[in-house]
Amino acid sequence: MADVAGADSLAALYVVHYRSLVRLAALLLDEPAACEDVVQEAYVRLAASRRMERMRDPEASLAYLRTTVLNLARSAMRRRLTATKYAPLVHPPDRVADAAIGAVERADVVVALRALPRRLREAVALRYYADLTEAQTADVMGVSVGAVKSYTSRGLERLATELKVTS
Amino acid sequence: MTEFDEKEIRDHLERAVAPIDPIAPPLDVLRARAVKLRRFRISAGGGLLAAAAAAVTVAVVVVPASGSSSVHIAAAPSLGSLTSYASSHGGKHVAGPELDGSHYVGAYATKQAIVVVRYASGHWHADGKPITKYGAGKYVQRLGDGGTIVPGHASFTMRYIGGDVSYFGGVIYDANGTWKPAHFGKCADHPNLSCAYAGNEQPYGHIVAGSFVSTSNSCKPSCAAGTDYLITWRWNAATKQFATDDAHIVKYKVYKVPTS
Repeated sequence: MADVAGADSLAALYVVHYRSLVRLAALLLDEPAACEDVVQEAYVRLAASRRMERMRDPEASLAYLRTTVLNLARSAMRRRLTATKYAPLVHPPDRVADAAIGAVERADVVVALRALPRRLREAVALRYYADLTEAQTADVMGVSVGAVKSYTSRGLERLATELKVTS
Repeated sequence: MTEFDEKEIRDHLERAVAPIDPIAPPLDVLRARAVKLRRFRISAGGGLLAAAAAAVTVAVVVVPASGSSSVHIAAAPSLGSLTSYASSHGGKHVAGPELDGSHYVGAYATKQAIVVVRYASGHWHADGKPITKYGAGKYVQRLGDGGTIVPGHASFTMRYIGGDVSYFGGVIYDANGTWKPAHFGKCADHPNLSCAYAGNEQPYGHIVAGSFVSTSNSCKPSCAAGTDYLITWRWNAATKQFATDDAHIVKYKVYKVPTS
């Protein structure tokens, strides 16, 4: 029975939250093409961990997914930065035309968000896109509530400056 | 301090990512990856145990032991090897690896067929059983937890092209070495027939959130302007057929499953 219940919960989480998690990943990563990979990997890890069988509260599973998405996004960013550092100086190939990705990458707020330091960016995305409370954001980021307050305040201030300059 | 409203930033972010409308892959694909990951973790844990056992053995060698033992951990076939096998045979992975009795099985789909493969002696190979010839790749799905026929045995939903423009859905499953079509409710009177077709338009069976469903259109006032209803089919292990009590089914049709 636990397996069946777990499978149903996973399916429900998948149907309801897949898209919003991909969108959240798009705000955390600067490589939108990797967003779906990150989110799918998070679901794979959740399914593999058997947490679904132990977690009665869907919110707890969702929190696990968000944390995993954040951690995978951090790893992906580190790998990309390392690859960029040691990449040969050649022109990158043209990105495959993708209207959705292009539109996201051109959005002023996304450009401004990506200019923020990582922790500020994460705090802003989790608080104001994922709509988490300060305590939930602190849990996902693994920092204190006070730190979240500081990050979001500084993040908003810098975003406002960037967006006003742009406009 | 710059004036900036929290609601404003929420709206900005929401609008910015709104164009992203990803198509989620079938959940079964991710479950297959989860199974692989779990096996990897188990084998990695086994490796650690082996390493620990080796350390103990070294200690025992220093202080001579009366004997030793070892545990052979059989390696499970990987998803990567199955995907690679499918690719080298002109197909795309659709299911597995999963344990079917004492063997690992998997399946890949080409444009014309589903091919079931078994893992033996460290290699994948086609098991030679007859396969449906209309199993166009992307319409083939493994029947997931919501519609499992026989636990541990491979089963697939697929669509068949029939009539003029209609698409018929059905299920085949591995019944102890032979592919059989699954029966649906009132179709039980028709041996060798399968009929996930349960309405007027767009009736082909498919998996939604782990459940096997088909679509029924009321066709009132017309099929173009009618209402679509999602009909959920459930496998009844006692009667060995799919059934539904959804009142929106307006008629059944039967269709012969084209196994070859």
